[in-house]
Amino acid sequence: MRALRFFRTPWGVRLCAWALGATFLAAALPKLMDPPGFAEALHAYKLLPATALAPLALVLPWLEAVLAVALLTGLARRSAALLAFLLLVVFMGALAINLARGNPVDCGCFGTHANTRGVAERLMDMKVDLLRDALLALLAWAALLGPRRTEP
Amino acid sequence: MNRSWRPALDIPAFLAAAVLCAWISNRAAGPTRRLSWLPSRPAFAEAIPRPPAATLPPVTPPAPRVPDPKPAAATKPKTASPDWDPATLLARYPPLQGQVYAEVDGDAARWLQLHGALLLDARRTDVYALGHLPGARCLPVWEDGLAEKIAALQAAKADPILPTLVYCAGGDCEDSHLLAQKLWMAGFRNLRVYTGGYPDWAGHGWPTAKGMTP
Repeated sequence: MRALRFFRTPWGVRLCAWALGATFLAAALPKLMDPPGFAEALHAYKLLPATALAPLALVLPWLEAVLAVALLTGLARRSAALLAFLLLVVFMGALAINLARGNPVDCGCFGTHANTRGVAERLMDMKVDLLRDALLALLAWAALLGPRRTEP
Repeated sequence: MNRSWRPALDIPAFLAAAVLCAWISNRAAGPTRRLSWLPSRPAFAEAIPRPPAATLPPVTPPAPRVPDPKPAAATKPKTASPDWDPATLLARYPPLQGQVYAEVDGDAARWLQLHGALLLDARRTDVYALGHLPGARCLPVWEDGLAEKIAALQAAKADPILPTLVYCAGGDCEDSHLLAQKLWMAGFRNLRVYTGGYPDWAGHGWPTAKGMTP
C-alpha cells in the first residue's frame, strides 16, 4: 500500500491530473473536427432520443476539451476531476448497456473509424474500452481526492 | 493546490464554456462538418397529382429474380438513363402501403439504377466523393442542410410515388434507414433501402462514379 501513497502526494496528484487531461484532449480533438461523425456514433448506442444527439455531439467534445485544459493547468482541478469522473462513469454505463445488449458499437471515444471488424472483435474492443475508462476513472478519483493534508 | 473547492461554481462554468465553444465552432464549421442543433424536419410535400389509384398497377411484391443486367453495363450512360420509364418502374416497384420502406438487394438496386430511379446516398460527403452509384445524389443524413436538400429534390419535381433507392455503407449502417424515414416524413411513398449499400455494389464490379457530381 506504500506505493499507493504516491497518489496522495502533490506530485502524484499532478501526474494523475495531467495524464487524464492529456487523454481527454486526445479524445476531444478528433470529435471536435467532425461533430456529424460523432453524432452518428452516439446514435449507434441507441440510448438517446433523436433531439439529444446533435446537442450532445456538439457540446460533449468541447466539455472534454475544457476539462482537459483545467486538468492540465491545475485550474479548478478538483471540480474538473469530479466532472471527468462522472463523465467516465456515464461512458462506462453506456458501453456496459450495449455490451449487455450484444450490440457492437464503435466506441467513438477517440473519433470514429470505419467498421471493418467482426461483431465478436468489436464486442471485445468494447470490453477493452470499459477497462480503459475504469483506469481513467481511477486517475480522476486520485485527482479529485487531492494530496493528503498534513496535520499541523 | 490548497485552493478552496467550489464545484457548484466551477461545473456550471465548465458547461457554459463548452456550450459557448460548441456554438461558435459549429457556426464557423464548413457545411460538411456542421450539425444542426435540432433534428431536421423536412417539409411535407403533397404527392404530384396523378390518375386515380385504379389506373396504377396492382400492388404486388417486387419480383425477386432480376435478369443479370451486366451485359448492358458497358454502354450505359451515367445519368438520364434511356430506359427511364415511370410505368416500367412502377410496374415492378409499386408504391408501398403500410410501410415506410422496403429493403432490397444488389440486383434490385442495379435494376433501379439502370432504369433511372432516383438514387440517394445517405453517407457522409467525403465518402460520397470517393465513390458512389452512378446518378446517386449526395444526401448525408448526419450533416446540416438535409431538409434543404430534400426540399430541393421536391422543387426539382422528384416524384414521391416513383421508386427511390436509398443506400449507405451496408453492414450495420443505419443511415439509409434514417434517410428513408425522413423522406417518408417529406411525403415519399416508394422508398427502397439497399441494405448491401455501396460496398455490395462495388463488390459486384458494377460501375461507380467519383467526385461531387451524381
